[in-house]
Order: sequence, then C-alpha cells, then structure tokens
Amino acid sequence: MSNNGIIGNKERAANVRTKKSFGELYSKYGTFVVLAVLIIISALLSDRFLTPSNLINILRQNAVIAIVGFGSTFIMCVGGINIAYDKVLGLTGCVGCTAFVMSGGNIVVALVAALLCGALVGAFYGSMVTMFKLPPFIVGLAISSIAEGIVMIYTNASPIQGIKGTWFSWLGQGYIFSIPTPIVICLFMMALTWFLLRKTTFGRHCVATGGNRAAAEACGIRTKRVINTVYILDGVCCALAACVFMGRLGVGQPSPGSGYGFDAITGVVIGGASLDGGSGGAVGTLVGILVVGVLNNIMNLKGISSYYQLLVKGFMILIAVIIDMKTKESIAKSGMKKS
Amino acid sequence: MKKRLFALAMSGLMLLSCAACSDPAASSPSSGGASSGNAASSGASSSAAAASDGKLTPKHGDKFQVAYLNRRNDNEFLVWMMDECVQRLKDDGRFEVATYDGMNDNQKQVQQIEDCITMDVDFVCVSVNDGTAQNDALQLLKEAGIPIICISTEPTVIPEGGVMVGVNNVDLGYAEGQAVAENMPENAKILYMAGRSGTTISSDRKDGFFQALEDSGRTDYEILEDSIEVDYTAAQGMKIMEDWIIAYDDFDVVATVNDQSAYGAVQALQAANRLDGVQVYGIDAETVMMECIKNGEAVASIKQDVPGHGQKVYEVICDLIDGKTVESRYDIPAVTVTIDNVDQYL
Repeated sequence: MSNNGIIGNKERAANVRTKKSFGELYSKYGTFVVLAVLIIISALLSDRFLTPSNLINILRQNAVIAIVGFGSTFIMCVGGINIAYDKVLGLTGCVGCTAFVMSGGNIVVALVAALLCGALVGAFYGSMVTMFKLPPFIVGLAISSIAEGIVMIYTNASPIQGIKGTWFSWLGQGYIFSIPTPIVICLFMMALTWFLLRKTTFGRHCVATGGNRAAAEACGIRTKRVINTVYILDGVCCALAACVFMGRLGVGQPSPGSGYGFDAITGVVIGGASLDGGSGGAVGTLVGILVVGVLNNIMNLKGISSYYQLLVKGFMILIAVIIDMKTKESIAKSGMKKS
Repeated sequence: MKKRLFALAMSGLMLLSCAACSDPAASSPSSGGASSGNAASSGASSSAAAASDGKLTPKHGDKFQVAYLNRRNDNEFLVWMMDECVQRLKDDGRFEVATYDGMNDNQKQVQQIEDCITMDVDFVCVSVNDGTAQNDALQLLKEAGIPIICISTEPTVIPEGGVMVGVNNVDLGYAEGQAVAENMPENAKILYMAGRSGTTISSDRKDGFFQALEDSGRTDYEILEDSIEVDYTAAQGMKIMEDWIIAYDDFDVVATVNDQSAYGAVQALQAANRLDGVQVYGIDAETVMMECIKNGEAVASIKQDVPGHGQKVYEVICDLIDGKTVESRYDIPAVTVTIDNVDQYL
C-alpha cells in the first residue's frame, strides 16, 4: 500500500515535470505550427508559392521588417513599445544616404552616421521613458512627429539621389554568396539578438525587468539603465533596417511609408512576445514576421483585393493578441496547479 | 489651498489668453464675412476688407494673409507645388504666407480650414486631401467670406465663388491610359497598380485610365490585375511588383496610380531582370521617374505643370485683390513626358 503510494507520488511528480499546459506548448511551438500550416495552405493554393525565387522573395521582402522587429523584441521584453518606427526609418535612412553622398560614397561613414542617429533617437526615447516616466506610447507619438519634422526640413520632401548602383544600394540589392544581402543582414541580426537575449546577463536583465520590474530592482538590477540600453539598441536596429530599406529602393526616401512598425510589432507579438513584457525571442520574432509576410505574399499571388487583405490582417492581429492572453492565463493556471 | 490658488491663477490665465486671441477685427464690420465688393463674375466670395472700388485691402496689418493648406508635406510633388505658389506670393511682397501640412488626414485638414476661419485670413489656397471630405469645411470658408483657391486636387463641390486651378484626376488617368494605348504591344497583358481606395484621387485616376483604354478602340489587351492597392510609396510599389513577378510569367505593361509606385515597380523589375520588354507608366512626373524615363526604364509619366499652377494661383489672387473678374476654373494642361521630351523637364 505504502509502495503504491510512493509510486503514485513519483508518477504524479513525473507528470508535473513532463505534462505541459497548452499555453506552455503554444508559447514554445505555436508560431512554428502556424507558419507551417500557412505554408502548406499557401502551397496548395498556388503552385508558385514554394518556388525558390518566391521563398527568397518573401525573406527579402520581410528582412527590413524583421530587423526592425528584433529591436522591438528587446523593447517588448522590458515591457515597452516603440510606435515611431516608420518616421525614424525615414530619418535615419536619409541621414545615412546624405552621409554617403557627402562623403563621396563611403559606406562606412554612411553606416556610422545612420546608426549613430538611430542610437541618439533611441537614447532620447529611453530617457523620456525612464527620466520623466512618460508612457512609451506618448513618447512614440512625439518622436514620430519630431523625426518626420527633421527629415522633411532638411530634405524638403525630396528623395536623396546618388546611391543607386553603389555600396549603399548593395545593402538592399546585393548578394553575399548568392544570398541577398538583406537576408544575410537579417539572419546576422537574429543571431545577435538571440545571443544577447539568451546568453548574456543583459538579456536576463531585460526579461527580469519586463517580467517584474519591482522584483528586478530588488535583486539589484539597474532597470533604468537596462531600459535605456534597450531603446538605444532598438534605435540602432531601426537605423540598420533603414539603410537596407533605402538600399533596396536605390534612393533615400524621406517618407518611406507607413506600416513597417505596425507589421514589425504584429510579427513580434505573433512570435510570442508578450505586450506586458518579460518574454520574447529572436527566432519567434522572425517566424512571427514571416507569418504576416507569407500571408501578404499568398494574397498578392492570388490577386486578392486589398480590401480583403486589410480584413485578414486585422483579424489576424486580434487572434494573435487573444492567443497571447489565453496562453498567459493557461501558463498561470498550470503554474498554480504545480505549486 | 495651494491647489485652489493655482487653479484660480490658471483659469485667469486662460481667460486672458482667450481675450488676447480673440481678434478684434473679427467682430468688426470689416471682417464680418460679407461677400460684397468683389467684381468677380464668377461670384467669387471676397474678403470683407473691400474698398468701394472693388479692390481688396488686407484685413489685418499691411499685408494679405494667405494660408496654404497642403494635402501632405511628405510628398515631393505636392511640396514642389506648394513652393511654386508660396515663392511667387512672397516675391510679390504684399503677402504673408503660412503653410499647413494636412498629413493626408481629412480630419486634420478640416481642422486647419476651421483654424483659417478663426484667424480670418485673407485667402485660402488648398490642395484638398480628398474630393469630398472637405466640402462642408470649404462651404464654411465661403460663408466666412474667405476666398478659396483649390489647387491640383479638385473637390467634388467647390463653393460658389471658389476657384479651381489644376487638372482633373480623371484627366490625368485618362492621359496615362492614352499613353498606354498608344505604346502597348499587340495583345498586351496589363497590370494596374491602384491607389488607396476611399480617396477620389485613386478612383478618378483609375476611372480615367480605363476609360482611355476603352475609348482608344483597342481591344487586344487583357487586364491581369487591377484590385491591388498601394499607399503611393515606392516601397509598397516595389513589394507588390515583386509578388506580381512571381505570380505572372508574362506581362507587358505596368501602369500605376503615381510615380512613386511606378519607381518601386521599376526597381523590382530591374532586380529580377524582368524589366526588358515591360513598359512602366506613372503619373506626376517626379524626378526619380523622369530619370527612369531618360534611362529607358519607364515609358511615360503624366506631368502636371507645377510652375504653371503656381503662376496661375498667384495671378488669381492678384486679380481678386484688384477686383478683376476671375473664372471659376483654370485648367492647367497635363503633359505626357516620354523619352522624346523628358530633357525639357529634368
């Protein structure tokens, strides 16, 4: 009897260790499953979908959004949000293009100028959030306006020419060992983000800050510094994305258009980052962005009207957020059961 | 107690600022919005500061206040148009010009129009966001007795007395369609990149485009796509073109709602080595697109005569001041820019 009791306890203990809730499973593998299902459906819908040229096309198209998304992943990890991406893309990209033209075609000068500009914008964003305790959303609105104002004043809304067919346009149009440069840069940034978040103390501090700031501070983590660093990193990511973006267009566009930040944040959330902070990962972000990218691609391939595309995208965001909430609830419940 | 005192002080300050902002001229008979005194045969509403000889005098100070309401300041073409108007007015020396960015937002532009009424400016030049969304606000301007000059984009209803300087978007689309009909190969397969729906600019250009194809008498073409929209940016044009390159093995013509989209399409086609044998068309004749035309990468773009717009707006305002007759509409002819004449405009 007593033996049975001991075995029963062991089994229960083993079950607790191995049996994972839906929330835990989804948070680990859910996005991959969604992407896989989407790819299968797309392949069934269009015989052109799985062609190598289209797969490269999807990766190339979404590389800029993904690079922005990696920056956003850091921000979401600490529980913040940046909604100024579209305008900062225009500003940092144009700064890079201008530096490139003015330096007589020096790509190093251009990249340093753009990344420095991105870092400055990020530092400003972070300082507003930490020093004045302003809501990141409001700071984003203000920075959008400031960034757009600056870029419009100094370009007068005219595109910056002189980068076509140069090293700058190589960032967006070139190849490294037959792989498009934007994809290589994107994968490099993903690896860097993964390393920083998973393998460094800084990454753990990010997660801790976003998960429970008060607890993190009690443990001695200087959360303000972490948040400031994260916004600077985000600005640098955005600037790099801007250079790739302008390189793709072969011209410096003061107004690159809207929707990049929206797509990036959508991808990051679909990829498993929590809007409340404390979670997020580089691979999940890329997969989440590809989910949106594949969806856009198949709808364009099938010639689906833009009206329906908007509809699908809107519902997808709603579903992603609902799943995010339910996942958290599920994890919380299973955590309570285990304890 | 401190809070109460602070609140009291703030209330006083607000009252003072309200009093300071209220323009004494606004309550004076001279700016009461009466539309008398202008000799325009079109019945152009005039500012109230009209002398007995029909000539206008500035309502406030010694210079005429002109508000230029631009549709969006992040568009090279629209900023160019604004600069052409503003520069001429400033060079004249009689005008103070304030410019406003509508940010492609209907609500924002309506607010700006309302602000102009509050400020009781002498003239409003407006490149409306949309053909219909600003109609009511324009009517309010008219009722306030502020002369309205609409530029480039035509509202569906221009208040009586308002002046339109520009070109109809249907005509621009029609000119693009004509260029396509003249140049496209036999049995051409056409991809049409439409503008954002819900704006009359997009629908007018699209309607004009397809009307021209129909009127051309050619029937040997096939429309592969016309329901995918762009947000008028090169990035979006490029992205959609990249997908179309995958989706369609064979196409001959890419016609777009504006030059930014066309430029993006050219970049995508070039990157995929598919530009050869494909004709690209746009509207607006922006610098980047004209460079493409010059390099043989695009066939045509429809150019609005931007300096012509600026000159005509300036002339209309001067005529209104002098009490001269103005027409309700001045068409500035559009020009089709091709490889043959692109050097004239670059």
